[in-house]
Amino acid sequence: MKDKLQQLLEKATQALNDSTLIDEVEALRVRFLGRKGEITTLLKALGTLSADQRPVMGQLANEIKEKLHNRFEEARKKLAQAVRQQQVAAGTIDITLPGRQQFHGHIHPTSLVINDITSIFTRMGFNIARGPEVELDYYNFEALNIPKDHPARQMQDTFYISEDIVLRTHTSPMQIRVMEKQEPPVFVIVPGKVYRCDSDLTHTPMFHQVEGLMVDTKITFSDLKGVLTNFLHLFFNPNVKVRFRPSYFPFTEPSAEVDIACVICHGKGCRVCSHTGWLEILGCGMVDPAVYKFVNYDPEKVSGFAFGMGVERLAMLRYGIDDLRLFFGNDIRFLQQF
Amino acid sequence: MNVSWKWIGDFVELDGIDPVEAAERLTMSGLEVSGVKPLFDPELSRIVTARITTMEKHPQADKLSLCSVFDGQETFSIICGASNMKAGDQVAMAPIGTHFPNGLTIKKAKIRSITSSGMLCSAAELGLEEESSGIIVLPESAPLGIPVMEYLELDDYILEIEITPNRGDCLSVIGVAREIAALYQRQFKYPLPSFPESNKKTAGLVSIQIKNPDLCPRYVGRIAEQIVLADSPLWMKQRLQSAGVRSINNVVDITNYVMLETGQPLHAFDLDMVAGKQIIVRTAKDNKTFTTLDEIDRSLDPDTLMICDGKGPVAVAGIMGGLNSEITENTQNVLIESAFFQPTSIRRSARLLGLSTESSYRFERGVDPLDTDLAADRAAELLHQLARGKVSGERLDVNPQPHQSSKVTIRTDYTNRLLGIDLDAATIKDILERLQFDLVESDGNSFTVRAPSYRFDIEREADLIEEVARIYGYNNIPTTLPVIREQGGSGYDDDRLPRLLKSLAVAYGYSEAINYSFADPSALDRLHIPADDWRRNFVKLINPLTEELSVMRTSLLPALLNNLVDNYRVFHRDIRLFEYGKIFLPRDNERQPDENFYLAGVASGRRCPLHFENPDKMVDFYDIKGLLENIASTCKLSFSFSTENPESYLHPGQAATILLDHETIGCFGQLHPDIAEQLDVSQDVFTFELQVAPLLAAAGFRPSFQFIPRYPASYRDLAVVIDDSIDAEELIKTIQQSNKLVLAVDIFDIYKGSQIPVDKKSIALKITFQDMNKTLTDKKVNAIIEKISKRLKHDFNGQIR
Repeated sequence: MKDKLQQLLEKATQALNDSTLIDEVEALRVRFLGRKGEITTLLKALGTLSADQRPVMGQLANEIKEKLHNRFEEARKKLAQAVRQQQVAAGTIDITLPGRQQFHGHIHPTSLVINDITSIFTRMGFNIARGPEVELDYYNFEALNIPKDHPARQMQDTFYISEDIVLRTHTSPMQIRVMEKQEPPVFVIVPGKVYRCDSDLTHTPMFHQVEGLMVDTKITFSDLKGVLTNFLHLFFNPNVKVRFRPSYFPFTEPSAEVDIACVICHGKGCRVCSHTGWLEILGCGMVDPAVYKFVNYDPEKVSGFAFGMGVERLAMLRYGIDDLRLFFGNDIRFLQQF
Repeated sequence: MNVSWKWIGDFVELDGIDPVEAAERLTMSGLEVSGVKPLFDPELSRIVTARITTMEKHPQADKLSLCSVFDGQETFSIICGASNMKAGDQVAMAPIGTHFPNGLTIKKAKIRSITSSGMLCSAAELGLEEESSGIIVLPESAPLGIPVMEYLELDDYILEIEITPNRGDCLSVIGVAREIAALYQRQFKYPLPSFPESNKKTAGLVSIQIKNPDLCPRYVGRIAEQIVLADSPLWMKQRLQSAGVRSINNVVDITNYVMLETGQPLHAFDLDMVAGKQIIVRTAKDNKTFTTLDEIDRSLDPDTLMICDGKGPVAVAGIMGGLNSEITENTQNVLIESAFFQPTSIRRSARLLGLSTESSYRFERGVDPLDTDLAADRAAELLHQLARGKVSGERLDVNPQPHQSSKVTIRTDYTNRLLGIDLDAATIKDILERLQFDLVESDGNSFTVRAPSYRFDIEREADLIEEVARIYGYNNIPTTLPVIREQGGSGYDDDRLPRLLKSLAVAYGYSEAINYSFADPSALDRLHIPADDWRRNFVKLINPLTEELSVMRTSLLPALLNNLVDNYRVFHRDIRLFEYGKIFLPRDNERQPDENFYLAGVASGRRCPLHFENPDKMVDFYDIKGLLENIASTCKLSFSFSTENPESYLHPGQAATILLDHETIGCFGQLHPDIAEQLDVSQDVFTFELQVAPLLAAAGFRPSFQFIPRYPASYRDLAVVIDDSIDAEELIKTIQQSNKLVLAVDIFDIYKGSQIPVDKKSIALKITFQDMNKTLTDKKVNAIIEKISKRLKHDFNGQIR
């Protein structure tokens, strides 16, 4: 038995040295150490040995089994490594070929600008409110101090569903709706679609605005200047020059328009700013006392301001887009630029 | 509105004020000046006054003259083609090198072999009028060698001013002059018109009756007899031109001139055409039509105010005159109308007639009720000076409702509180006085004032506060940030769901489209949507821009399909677009419609971008389903899909309804090939549309932690051949329900081919088993697989491969 074991060990080792493939190694392992393998079979004969021979033989058998097992393992490892090395050597690729992409879409520039505007204001502490696009004449005009015969109400500018129901021409109706639903303080911005009966090179019948309203016990005109100046510095750049000049809206008094130094020519004068060096960006003002009356706020106890801006206009300035109609054409070549 | 700087200078001292700087100050105090342009091209200041010392006929050209022209220093030899001048005349000489705005440059030139060193200019060449028949001849007293523009006082600037609707008082030269006077603290002066009056009394020549004093509280008439209709003098033409008004004749020009100067629109009647020499101011009532002087017949609303004579209407009050009483070359006697018409009435009538004139524009915004007589007199003065009119005495002033400004009080402390400044009472008082407010009362803290008669925008304290702020200067008010306190109110918008939905769509390759909310009602026909479908119930516009935009949309798909077609036409082939927007549905018993957010999309083209390793596959039904499943799982919801009631615009075999908790919330699938064909798109098109509100109501954004099993899962692959007609869902459900240790069932292959009978398919599944409490033994798993195989055989006649 001892000799036989020794023989098998040498035979197996020899065969191992000759093998070049892992499969061969595995086959050898099975042949010698598998369930029906030569060594295994031989060891079955251990039972036929005498009682005093058995332990010695048994120990030797185990030693040989272990040795062989280790040799098989080593051989397998070595061969596996060789295979790997070969693979690495053959695995060079052309790294200049393009990467694999998935189609990825783009958010519309109008949405990007609205997101930016709302995030600047929500950072300041404003909440977002949204409201109906098909509005009652009351909310769109009357309660904003624009009575029936007011010039701001020309039939040409407003889309009508019926005599009293219009497509909102601005986001300002939400000022009334918000103030009706809650007591002061109010800090809201209202992004949304607005509609005007206008269609030419620089006007589309639908566009987007963002409205803002801030009402509390001690809000002042200087707060109005601060909040809007802060917004413009965050939206454009921290050094942009801002100016406030008196203007007129039926629902604010005093009213103002806010200009920034032209972002294209930096104030020197160009076509975009009509050679004035300034771009009008926002309309704003202290809420007119007549408006407070409509929502039962006491103008002696509260004060506040409102403001509004056109989103497409801001987008055109930010991205250098020169044609308003592109916003509604939804050409992929347009959308994919943002 | 364009206003001449020099004209303003007639009423306020402008010495030392630069027009550009004044424009800036006006802008910063509420009158936006969008441009300051020199009246004439500065090049033209090279043209100087000169005298013709000698003039002879050109030897080679009969119609030309050879002139020696002396500018005070040198003499030039100039050839001229005009014939209205003679030796000794003062003329306007353009020296060599002058560039005219039309491109002409004066060079030394030989005209019929004689050198000409300059040009003698006509008024047209200087831009003073459209055509001239000869050159300008200046008065003898004109000094030599000075720029002609300066001499004619044409070195003027035009201010282009945008006037807001509340400042009707600035629609005139004097209005702007007053603002400048207030800003620069100078005196405003309007010289009283002066002219001789004839011994006839106006009341004897015409009678004025006002039947509707509410609509016309004041009407002033002046008469000038024996006028000589002629061209207006150059200075008037030029001033009218600077304001963009064409010169017609001296009488008409005078009415326009006075309107531009004072803001009071005037009307001139041929007195002899005024029937019965009666002027009656009344509403149209039974007069149904009227021909305005633009020769258009207009129908009249009964409440429109008319100016009538003894026979009937001769003008639409404040808006436009009639054809029948115009000033003509036969006019000898002129009646000047200067009146105050009630702004709302004029606004309403002008809107009904669809007219807007320089007159109506001013009346709508309110003209100064205390200047009505002054304007009439100014016109009379000019009629006397320029048309030799004999002005009748005692102007006729019918004033049934004399004007009275109301009192308004402003508080110093409230003003400072509202503006965020700290002005003392004296500063506020000073500002109000500079603006010509009449101080009626004051205590230490507040002032009660009466606004000037021309300020229709001053009614309340807030209006006075705006005056204080704008004169003090908005830029002098500090910039502060307020404290934002906790607010009440609820129901603020949560943006999370829309952002999530948009991000998912973007991740799946869809770009966001934004389409108009308007729709073409017939678009639903093209999608084969039935006539009684809920989407046919539109919110309709009374005044749409076009028929294609005449209702509010009830689906996002028609516009998205248009977007697809538009992109396809410019050769895009891989198109994925989505829109997140509202549809509108009328509600019974509610005035306002329902506005519901939907998410919709269209897709066509490749599944992945072109890549040497990417399979060349096109987008299909399961790509859309993948996005929808992802939407559901992101919202921690689960959609179910059904083939019942497919939309008529979808391929009947590739359409599904999306259900959430057994409610239909949308549908998706392949666009019916018939419709794709009509759209001229030769690729498969897929659409989806789902309602967002149910997602918002049901979505759970905050995950609850799920216990992670400590024991590993086991996996088995199984392939089973079943009838083609069996839905995959059934198979999966059966397997999942067969044993509670089945964690997941994933289909990884579907094979139909050579080894499989024709009406069957082989489905390969990977089944995942998980026991939370122990490691599963092979034996256990195998047993379950045995059971599953038996089930499949029993329920579906499935053969395990």
